[in-house]
Amino acid sequence: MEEFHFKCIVTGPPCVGKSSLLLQFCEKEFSAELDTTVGVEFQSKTMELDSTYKIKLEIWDTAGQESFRSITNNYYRGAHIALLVYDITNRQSFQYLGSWLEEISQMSGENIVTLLIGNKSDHNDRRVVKVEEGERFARENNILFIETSAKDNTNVEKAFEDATRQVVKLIKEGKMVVVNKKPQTVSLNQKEDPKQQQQQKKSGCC
Amino acid sequence: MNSNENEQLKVEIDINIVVRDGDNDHIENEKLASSSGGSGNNNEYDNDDDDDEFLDIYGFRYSKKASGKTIEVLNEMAQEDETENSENWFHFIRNRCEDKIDRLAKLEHDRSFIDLVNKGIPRHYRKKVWLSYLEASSLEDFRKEYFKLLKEKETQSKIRDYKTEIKLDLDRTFPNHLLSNDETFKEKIQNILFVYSINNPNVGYCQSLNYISYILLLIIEDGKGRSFWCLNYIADKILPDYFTHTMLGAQIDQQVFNDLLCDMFPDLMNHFKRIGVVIQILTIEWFLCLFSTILPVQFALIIWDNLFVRGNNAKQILNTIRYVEYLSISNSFAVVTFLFNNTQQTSPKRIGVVMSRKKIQDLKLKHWQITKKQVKDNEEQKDIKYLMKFTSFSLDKLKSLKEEFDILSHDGTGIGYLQFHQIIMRFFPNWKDLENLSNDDKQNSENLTKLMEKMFEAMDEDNDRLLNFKELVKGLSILSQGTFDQKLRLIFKSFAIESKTYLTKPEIQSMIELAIFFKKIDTDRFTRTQKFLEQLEEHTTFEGLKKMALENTLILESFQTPTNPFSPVNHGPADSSTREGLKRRNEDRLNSISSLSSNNNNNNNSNNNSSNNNHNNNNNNNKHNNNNSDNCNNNNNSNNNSSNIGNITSTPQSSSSSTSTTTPQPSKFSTDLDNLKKKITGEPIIKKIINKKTNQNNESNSNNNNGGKKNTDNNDKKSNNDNNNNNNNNKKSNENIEKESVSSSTHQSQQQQRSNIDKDHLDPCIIM
Repeated sequence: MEEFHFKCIVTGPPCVGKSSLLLQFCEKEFSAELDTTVGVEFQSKTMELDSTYKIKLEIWDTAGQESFRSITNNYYRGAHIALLVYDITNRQSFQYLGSWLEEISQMSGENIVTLLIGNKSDHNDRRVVKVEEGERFARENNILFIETSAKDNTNVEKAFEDATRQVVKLIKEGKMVVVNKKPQTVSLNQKEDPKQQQQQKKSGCC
Repeated sequence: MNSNENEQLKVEIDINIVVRDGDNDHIENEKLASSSGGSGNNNEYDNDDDDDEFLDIYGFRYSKKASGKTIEVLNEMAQEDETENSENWFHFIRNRCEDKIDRLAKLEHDRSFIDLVNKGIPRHYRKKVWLSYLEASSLEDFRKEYFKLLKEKETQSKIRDYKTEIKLDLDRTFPNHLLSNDETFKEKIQNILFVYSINNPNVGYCQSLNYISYILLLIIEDGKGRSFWCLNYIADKILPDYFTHTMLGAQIDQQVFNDLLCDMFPDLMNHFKRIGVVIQILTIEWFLCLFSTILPVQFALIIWDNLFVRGNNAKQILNTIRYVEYLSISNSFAVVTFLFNNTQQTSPKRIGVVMSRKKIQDLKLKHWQITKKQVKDNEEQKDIKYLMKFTSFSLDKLKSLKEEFDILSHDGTGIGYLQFHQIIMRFFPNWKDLENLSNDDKQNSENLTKLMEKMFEAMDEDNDRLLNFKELVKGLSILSQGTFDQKLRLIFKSFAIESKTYLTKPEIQSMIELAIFFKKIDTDRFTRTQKFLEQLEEHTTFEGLKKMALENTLILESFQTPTNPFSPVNHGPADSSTREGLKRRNEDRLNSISSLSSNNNNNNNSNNNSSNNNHNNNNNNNKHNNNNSDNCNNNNNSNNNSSNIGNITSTPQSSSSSTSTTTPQPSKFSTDLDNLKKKITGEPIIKKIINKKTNQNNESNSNNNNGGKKNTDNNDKKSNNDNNNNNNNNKKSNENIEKESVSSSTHQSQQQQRSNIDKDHLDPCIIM
């Protein structure tokens, strides 16, 4: 099985469910009582794609608030995937996505695969951003799009799969180069080191 | 259910006790006994809890399963806090302060006091000690001030509203605390953060302040708004630059911390490096939230106690952390324990050696320089990237603008109104002319200042009363080359004070008054303005303004473009468009609008249709009419002549304008045509240059020579048209002169050349 190692950043306005998405994806859990993310949090997960590729995802969950940008921007570098999340029940979170996209392209390479995620699709009754609007925005900016619900685990896996599949595709086409030198990563192979596992546990707990 | 309610009740009672104690100056024996008794009950109660939840003495819930050992430690600590520690404090206060807790305020260098603080301040003294060290206890009329502020701020709508943002965050601030669902408690935090965000526009609201305010309110809540002032003190004095938009202070401290760790625990740091852990990811949250999210609050409060009493000194804080660690934080906070386990292995003495006050200061200084430069470079790059997209300034131009900005702004963060004024006057000579001309008329110069201030405020997007580089260049770009919409948007923003979404009638009135501030408002015009205002809706939206501006271009031209409101040439097209409108629209309404844009209209002109030729006729006629209507028409020729003479003798460029006066007709025609084309395509009207020299002469003659100005205006335009090449050549020589003269030049002609260069760079429309 071919192995890849991707870096993925999760970004978007505050309070759209970035951390919840991660929690659902990595731990299969949902909690309505998540704290606000201060700064950056880190998770990693290994997944299989189409049972042909083994992909290690290194996921950086960034604080959505503006003041944190000068800190979170440092972590955009070298990312292969950017998940840009908005909240379908909050018009404001959708409004300024353009500037977020700009931020992403400025802080990372041009080649980054961006996936737009409309989260909280379980709240269809409170929806204010139509599916078509999300689709249109994604089309206009040439990025991928999906609607998810971190609460009832709809499309969460698929979102990550879609994004990774696109990266793999680009690599196969020779349009993207992945340097697997793990510059800023926690290697999962060092089993002799118990402290490092604690490390991961920590990042899982908040 | 029932037990939950009980819990809540208990904690509320408990908090009340703390509050009551804090309000008394003398702590008496009985009180101490009663409050510790109350807490004792609380602990007892916790042990009875059948659920999987454990409630600590501050009302934070813990899952028993997930944090078994932590709970034991918490209980242990709570008991120690109430018995041993309390007694020590009680005796200390009795012996050293004669029972007056206020006297603790100046003991931060007292060894034995610091030893006490090391273990944390007992709960019933905490509030009092905090208040005195956070300088919040001495001021009597806090209550009035804070609540006055709150009331005031709620009515100011122009300022960016963080309310919804704060509210969203409050739902997820300490969700494991009992009061996190309590609406009144949440509202109090929201108010504190809201007032803070408005009082500190350079910070606004920054996540992590929510955690700090939560705990402050939990400890200090007294209905007097004191926790608000404590928050201010913490953010200003204890953690300076932590919550600003670059978080410079926090970033520096991360680096210092990182360096210290490398020094003290090289093995640990090597290990981190090997497995690729970036320590800052963990520590940024520790520092920003003051450990309140990473440690059980009971522990974090000990750190807070020390921080407040001793001030911001990393050595002391780390000592405290060691004490907290000593209480063994247990496995659920793995990384922290892990870190501290290593601390124990290294001898404590070593920490004392490595972490001298001097060393920390040196490190701070070092990283202050490095980090500041880094942050600044990053910001700059981002700004320039952004501005390259948004404006059509070249990279070189942006860089030179940046250089100038840096000189003007001292520390590179932003320029105030005075510097803004300076820049505008330099870049847009027409404004300078206005200023020169208005100097003699108090009303006019006041109006000009008012207008400039309004524009300054509109450009100041983050409302910090400073223009940063991005804001300034964006503004300059809109003024010089913005689209119709952009310019109008800026005007709208300048005047929409009451609400961001509409203009009120008085706002429109002031807009119109400023638009025509150089024209004398005779009674006739005044009544027509009133009439116009009367038929307006109560609120005018941006779209409404746009419609208005399309009908009456004076609105646009008078403000944002560096065109001269003096110049009747500008009014020509405006009139023609309103004339057109006359055919289509309600006559009454239109009359009043057109009355705003020009003094008189020849009735014959109204017969003209929309063909280009007719428009030009229309323009010409209008100008003619304006001439007649202007009082100073008589000065016309003499002014014109004298200005031309002046031009010939001063610069080559102005000599070209004098030659152009001999062939006025064709070029005038074409410019008007261009004018119209521009207008039709929604582009800004061509800006006209007013020759400096002309103004000099005008000034010396009189303030009211509108007619003369108009003519020279035309001439200039023509000269630009006809002598494009000439100008370009001149530009080169001007640039050379500029290099030599630099900014200290006071000579008029040099200044003029300078401004011409800037105009050429800024405003491609000038040379038509």
